[in-house]
Amino acid sequence: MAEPRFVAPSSLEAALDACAAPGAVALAGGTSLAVLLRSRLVEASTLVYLDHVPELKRLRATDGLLRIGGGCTYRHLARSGEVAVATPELARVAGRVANPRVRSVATVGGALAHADPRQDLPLLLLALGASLRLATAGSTRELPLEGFAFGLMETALGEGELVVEVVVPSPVGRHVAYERFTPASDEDFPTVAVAAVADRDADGSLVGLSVAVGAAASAPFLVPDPVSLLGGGDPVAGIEAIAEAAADASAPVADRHGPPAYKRQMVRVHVLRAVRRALAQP
Amino acid sequence: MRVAFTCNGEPVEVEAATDASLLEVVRALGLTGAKSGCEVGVCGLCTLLVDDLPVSSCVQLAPCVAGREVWTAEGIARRAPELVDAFVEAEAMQCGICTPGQVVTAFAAAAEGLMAGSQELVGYLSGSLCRCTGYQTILEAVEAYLARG
Repeated sequence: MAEPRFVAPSSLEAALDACAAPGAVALAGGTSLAVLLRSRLVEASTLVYLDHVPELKRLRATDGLLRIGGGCTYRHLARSGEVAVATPELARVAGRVANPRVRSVATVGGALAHADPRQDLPLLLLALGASLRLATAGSTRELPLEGFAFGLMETALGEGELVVEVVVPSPVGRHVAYERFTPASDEDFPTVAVAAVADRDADGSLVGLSVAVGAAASAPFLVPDPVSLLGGGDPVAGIEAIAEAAADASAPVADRHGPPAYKRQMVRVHVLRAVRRALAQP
Repeated sequence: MRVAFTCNGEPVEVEAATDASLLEVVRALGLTGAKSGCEVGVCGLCTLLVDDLPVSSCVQLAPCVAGREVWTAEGIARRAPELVDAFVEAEAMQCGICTPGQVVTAFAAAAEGLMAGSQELVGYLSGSLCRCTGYQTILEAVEAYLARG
């Protein structure tokens, strides 16, 4: 295949028009895509470079929602005052993914579109109950993040569709705990990662609990109905029930970090840790 | 396609394939400090500054830097000779293959306002791999440079 055309639109409208061409591939930071392009695992007739599209760089907190443009970089999230106030764990995790060079250019929209089940940020966003605003040249739609990614590099994105915005609820009384297990090096993807999000009302009563597990299946997943599993009785037994359900729902692959049984046990351990931490916060 | 950018303070224009990397382009210009290591953005040997931010030039497609400011270790050595001095005084290199990337990263760490003695600095530098030194002398060099202000 001939080398791709390269276009650098300076508006969202122009970018979506460019993405509508057959064989067009959107390029943001390129830290995942450049490897795929240069090894010919992905082929493109046109590369649509998104870094000059201002609409994708917006970030604002309004009405208990954090609205993050798909083109916001990890570095931007890590340093943003709005994120630090609305969802501090999001800023903390974004500031520790990979290495500073990746964080300089990699974007939240690009990460979601790439859909590697080991990624930190999509997993955390899943537990936070995020939704996505997607757009093509002729349409827009909103989707919950749950179910958006269903396999390695497999998402619900349609032809020519971009992740324009990630919408993250940031209610008062939310407590977030992120646990990542990296037996290799800290810059590496996690071998297992867990995000637990507990919502409490003004009296301190638990009104919601989400537990998401990453790197343990073909996509990050939510543990079904953790509030019911927690029950009203012994909290230790309740948390263990959530950890058991998470391990049961995992389908880890054997690799250099360990066999499936080991990874399932790591899911159990890190779900226990994350849920305990999320519930312990007053 | 033609890609025009600023390299170490000077305007340059190159002819490059759309999927050529910035690393290939810069080395073709004779700036061979940046090295090809892992080719997947992990090791840090290829670190350059693009618009003041450190990037893995092996996974930065060349057309993406059109209109931007690129700095390599060669240019940074001229801008900050005291940084080079700090590396020499601390003996922060052995084979030298990671050194250009370490120098660029150190310069970026200073620009980020990272502080000597902080875990944040250690985390920032730990993304640039070294096979020879065991990292202690690199950390000493960078902290000496940061302390100079």
